Amino acid sequence: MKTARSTDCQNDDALMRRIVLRDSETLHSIAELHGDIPFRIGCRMLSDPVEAEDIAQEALLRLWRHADRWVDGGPGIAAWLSRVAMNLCLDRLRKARRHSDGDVPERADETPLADATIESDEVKQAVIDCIGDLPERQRASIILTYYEAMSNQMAADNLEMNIKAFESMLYRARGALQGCVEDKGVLAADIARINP
Amino acid sequence: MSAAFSPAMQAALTRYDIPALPTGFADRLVARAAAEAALEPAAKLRRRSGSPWKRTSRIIGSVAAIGFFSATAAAMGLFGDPIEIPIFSDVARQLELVDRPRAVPRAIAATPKLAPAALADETAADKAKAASAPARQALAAIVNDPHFAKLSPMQKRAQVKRAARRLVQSGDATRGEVRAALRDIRSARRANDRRPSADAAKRRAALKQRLRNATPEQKARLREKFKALPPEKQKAIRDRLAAASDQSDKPQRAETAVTSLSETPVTEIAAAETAKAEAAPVVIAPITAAPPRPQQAEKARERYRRATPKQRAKARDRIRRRRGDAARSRAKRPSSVRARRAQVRRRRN
Repeated sequence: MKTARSTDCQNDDALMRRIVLRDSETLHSIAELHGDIPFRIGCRMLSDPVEAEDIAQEALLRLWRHADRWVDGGPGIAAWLSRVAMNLCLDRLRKARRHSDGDVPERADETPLADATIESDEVKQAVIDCIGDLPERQRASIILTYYEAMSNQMAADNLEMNIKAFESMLYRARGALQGCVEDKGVLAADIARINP
Repeated sequence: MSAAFSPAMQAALTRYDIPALPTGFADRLVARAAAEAALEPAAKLRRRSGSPWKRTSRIIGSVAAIGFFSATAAAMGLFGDPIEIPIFSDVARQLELVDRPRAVPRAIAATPKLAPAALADETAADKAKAASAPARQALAAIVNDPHFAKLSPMQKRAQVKRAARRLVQSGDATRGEVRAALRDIRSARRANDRRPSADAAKRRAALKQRLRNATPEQKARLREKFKALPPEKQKAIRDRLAAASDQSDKPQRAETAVTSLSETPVTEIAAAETAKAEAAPVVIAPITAAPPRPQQAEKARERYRRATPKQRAKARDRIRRRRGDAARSRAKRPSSVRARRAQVRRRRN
């Protein structure tokens, strides 16, 4: 899994200089190189790949539009994209909550229901549901620290939070997630399946 | 971070995988960026501020600033004379919903030494005239201001009205005093307007001088010219000459002057001049409280002796009239010495 931390800062500065000169080839290469970061964040935060693609496009277009504001020696393109993508996701979730009180419709599972994957899918669905049940910022903290493998400090910066407050929120998020998954009863069956 | 979860939990979380980035994502992104770049100049041309709140606040702010500055400029008189617009307070004041406080004239309060009897003796006209001095001064200062002359009649009226109202409200003068002061100022101005200009007087004096110094031939020519004029014009000239002779220092009758010009033959000009001098009206020294000096009395007697019967009758009438006035004024004289002194003091003041 590629992480935001894996980007090379010097290389990023050079790329951004070319973006400032409106080099669309560079934008193309950045999209291929880092496009999956905002897409992943969008997928896990919104549970919708179509929305996630929109988020990824918007994040990369912002990079293209505001390239002249780029400061050399910063945290890098990947960190910048993950931050922008997370903010876009939080904005969309807030907007959706404001416009409709109902739950976000679940995405239809298009994968074939093979017998071998039934149990695995149950676990995955339970994890998706539990992550989706978490409050927005707790969900963001789990996604950034676990799936994007960010340090607590980086994740706190990403969410514009104090580190102590972030750690406290992360602790609560972990507890809530674990309790939710355990309550679903899929964890024991999974363990039994993994260690027969 | 993974140490925070149990291995079973980690295994469950890892099951949450996501699909790969759709194919052609980068191409679609580059196409969108190119489309946006094409639209950029048009967006720049619009140059509108992002927020409608900002735009609205700018418009409201500029309107308020313009209003504030124009009001300040108008108050400072930068646009010329202030415009008299009846505002609510003026209208409310004219309605007189409550009685106005009665003004206490300071002039009366300042003279407590006067006896009540003396105050009672004062006629209403005298009181108004004496007490309206501060009001007259205040109003005259406003009216004589050069700026006042430039105002329109409506503005002048409004300014005087304001000043009068201030005087009455402050207690410096009563309404009657203010009215009397305004009457005085108005009559003085009218008299000034009526007074002939110095140039006209000079012109008349020069004309008279020329007539006096004219040769007999010139006078004859003038007389012919005068006779050739239509009767109305002749009358107008006669009237003008009569007015000039009334204002001249020499006691000279207008009729005589005109006759000397129109009817006296050329050869008798000198005689006419003497006749003019003789035809002067008989002036007898006025009868006042003090007796005339012996010289004056002698002169008056001499003039009476030389006067015609008609002039003598007129002089007698005049003397009779004056005697009647003196008798009437003597009847008004206060009985006590103290009251008499007070009256004299008042007249002097």
